[in-house]
Parts: sequence; C-alpha cells; structure tokens
Amino acid sequence: METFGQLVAIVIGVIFVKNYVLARFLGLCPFIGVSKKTDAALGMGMAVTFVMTLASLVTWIIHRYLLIPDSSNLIYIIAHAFKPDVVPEDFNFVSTLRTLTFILVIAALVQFVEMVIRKVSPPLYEALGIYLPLITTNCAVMGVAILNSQKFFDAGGEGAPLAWSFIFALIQGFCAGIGFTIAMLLMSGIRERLEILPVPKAFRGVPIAFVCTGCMALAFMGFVALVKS
Amino acid sequence: MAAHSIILTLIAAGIIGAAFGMILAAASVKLRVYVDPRITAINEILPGANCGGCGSPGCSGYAAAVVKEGASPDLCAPGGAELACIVAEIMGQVAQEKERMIAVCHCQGTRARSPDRWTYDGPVTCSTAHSLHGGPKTCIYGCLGYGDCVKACPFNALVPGIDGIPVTIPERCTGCGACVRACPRMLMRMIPDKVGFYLACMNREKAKAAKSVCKVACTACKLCVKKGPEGGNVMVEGANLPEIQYGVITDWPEANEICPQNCYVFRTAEAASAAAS
Repeated sequence: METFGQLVAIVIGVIFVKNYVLARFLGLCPFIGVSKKTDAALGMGMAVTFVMTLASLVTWIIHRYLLIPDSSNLIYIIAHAFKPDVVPEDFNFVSTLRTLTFILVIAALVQFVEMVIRKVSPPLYEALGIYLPLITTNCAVMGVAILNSQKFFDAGGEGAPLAWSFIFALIQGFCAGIGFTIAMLLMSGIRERLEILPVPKAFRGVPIAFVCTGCMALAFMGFVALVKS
Repeated sequence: MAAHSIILTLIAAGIIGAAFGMILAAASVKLRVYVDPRITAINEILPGANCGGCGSPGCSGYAAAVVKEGASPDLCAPGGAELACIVAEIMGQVAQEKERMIAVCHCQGTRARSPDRWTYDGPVTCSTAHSLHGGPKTCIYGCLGYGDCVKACPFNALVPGIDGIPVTIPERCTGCGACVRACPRMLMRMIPDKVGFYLACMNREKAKAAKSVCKVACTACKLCVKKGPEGGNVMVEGANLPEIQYGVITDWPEANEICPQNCYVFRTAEAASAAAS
C-alpha cells in the first residue's frame, strides 16, 4: 500500500506539481519552438514521452551496473576477472562519469531508436520522425535521467538502488513526458488563439509566448500543496 | 590518486563513447532504408517555399507524391513551366506547357463605395469577420480588407491597397493559390497573366440589390455580353455575373465605356509598380 502511495505521489508530483516545463523550466526550447500548432505540439509531446520513458529505462540500467562502485559494477567485474586483487573502492571514479555517460547514452539511444523505427514502422516514423532528432540533446530528457538517479538511489545517486526504484524510474520518465505533453497542448491552444489577437507589435510571437508561459507557471504553482515533496 | 582517477575516467568515457559509436555505425549499415534518389533530386530543385499550392504538405511531400503516387510534375506553381520540365525529366516524362496564372482580388469596393453596416472590433482577420453576420461590409460579397490573403502569401506578392483591398504584384505572384484558399469570400481568383482586364465584382445579387450595397457592383445588366466582342463574355446562370472568356479575348480597353457600373479593372504597368513601391 505504501508503494502504491509513493507511485501516486510520483505521478501527480511529476505531471502537475513539478511539471518539467512549468515548474522546473526544463525543455523550454521545444516548448516555445514547436507549440505554434496543436498537431505539432502533440507529435512533439508524444516523441518526448517516448524518449523519456526509454531514457529512464536505459539510464537506470547504466546507472545501476556502470556508475555505482560496488560489487555488481561491470567495470569492476571485468577488472576482477583479470586481476583478482582489485576491490570495488578502486572504482569510485565511475560516479563522476554520470552526466557525461547520460548525455552519450541518450543521444546514441535516440539516434538508434530513430533508425529502428524508420526500418520497422514507417507510419510511426512519419508521426514522430521529424521530432526525434530535436530531442537528442534535450535538457528535459537529461533532467529526467539525472533526477531519477538522484531520487531513486541512496545518498543522492551514489549508493545502491531503493526498492521498486526501476518501476518508479520508468513511471517518473513516462509521467514527465505526459506532463510535458499537457504543457505543450495547453500552450499550443493559447498560441493558436494569440495568432488572431491584436497583440502589440513588440510582443508578437515569442515574447508573448514567454509571458503566457510565465502566467501558466504561476497557475501551476497552485498545485504545490497537492503532494508533500 | 587524483591523476590516476582522471586517466581512468578518460579511458572509461572513451570506451563508452567508442562503444556507442560502433553500435550506431553498425546500426546505420544494418538498418539502412532505401530512399528513392529521385525524391531527393526533386526535393532539391523545388523552391522550398512550402506554399502548399500543389496540394501536398510542403515541398518534400510533393517530391514524394510525384515519385510514389505518380502526381503530375507540373503542379508546382511557383516553379512554373521551367521546373515542371526538370521534374518531368527526372521522372522520365515529357512536360506540357502550362499557362502562367496570377491571383487578383475580384473586388474594388472600398469603404467609400460600399460602407460598413456596423463597427467590427474583433480579431483582425477576414475569416473571423466573415463568420460574424457576414462581416461588417454592406456588400456581403465584397473584400473585407483584413488581409488574410496578404498573410497567406508566401511570396509577398500581395500588398494591402485602399481600405486593405489587396493589390497583386505580378512579378512576385507565382500562382500558388495560397490566397485563393485563404479568402473566405472567394474573391481571390486566378487569371492568366497575359490578359489586360478582369471583372472586379463577385456580387451575385440582381440589379437593385447589387446597386444598393456598392457603387461599383455588377448589376447583371448584360451590356458587356451583348455589346462586347463576340463570345467574349458569357452570363453565368444563377450567379448574375458575366464570365470573361479569356480564351476568346485577352484585352478590351473600352470595357468600362460599356459597363454602366465601371466594374472592369485594367491591369496597367503603372498600377503594379505603384503597388510594389
């Protein structure tokens, strides 16, 4: 039951309270760039959700088996096979590799997934294809990976994984994408209406979009009390 | 220890990077998708304005449509006959000559000629104004002048003239038809570039009703049909408007001497250059 409560807290927390765009201000460039039309916003949101979920999965595995210096570390296991006298503490340096490895993994993963989709499912490629390359180095995806590792591993990502952490990480990744999609759709609705309104010349386009983003962020502040952080 | 860590970190990062690089390189070979080289070739020579005049979503969409679905190679209006020839050559077909068309606004009802019935204070677009009781203008067929066509034109070929009624700059107009689709009143229509005149009224009412809403409205008096060049004008049944047969006549400078309402507009070089400047 406690696990279920944690799950709900993660879902609500990531979608509304700590929305990646409107509360954490991550991924603002696709948010402003692709939110002019609802179709494009939805496509981008779906692509981001897809990539965030995948990235959560892969970075959790990478983090668990490559970036924690304990006895199940891959580098330690390989080194141990050649030189039996090494101890896991010799590999403390791996924890410094986190950001670098995550960037590499996510970029490579997105490229790889794009190739696979193009080969396997042309209709899916038509729907997501043009957005996927835009997300390779998106900070929101990177943010999900880093926050996952900070939240679901002991001592700020330095230690062993908590119970259920793999599922939690997946859910958090997926819900972060859903939150992003919701923010995109809300914004595209606003911007489609803004198009036909007599906005002062200096505010037209991106400036008024940022003003609206600020107002939406204020509105999302109202969710803060929903979940204890 | 510090130097040791740096070296180890560098090696580990290098190995991870190299591993991903190799996976991607292998995947790009293994998962290569064959793209018809003709699509790339056609896409490269298309204007890239993404005007949508061909009916496909953007230029790359049209390139794919030509190769995969057998779309006609001469659909790209901005590229014109020249481009149609190249596209047809790539596809191994022979292109047909296509007449150059331009879009002009078939209305000259300024506010002085057809005043507003009421004050419109909504969003400055024709489509919104048009959907509100047919727009503020007395003539419900006339140009509202809020510039939907001007905004739709990807080539800046339309400039707002008196009371916002658009003036076409013929050199810039490619005949893509974006404005034709944008105008809620269907006033933007294509005419051959070679003709010197057109009937600038789309009012479908009969004499009295038409005359009461605009000073230059076509009253369907049929004088141009009767007294004009033989077969040059044909009355459209039910529309109360004559239709000029551009296949028969291309110029008729005396048209307004016959038309009691001065409905005809003549395309002169001066008017076009005045609009362009």
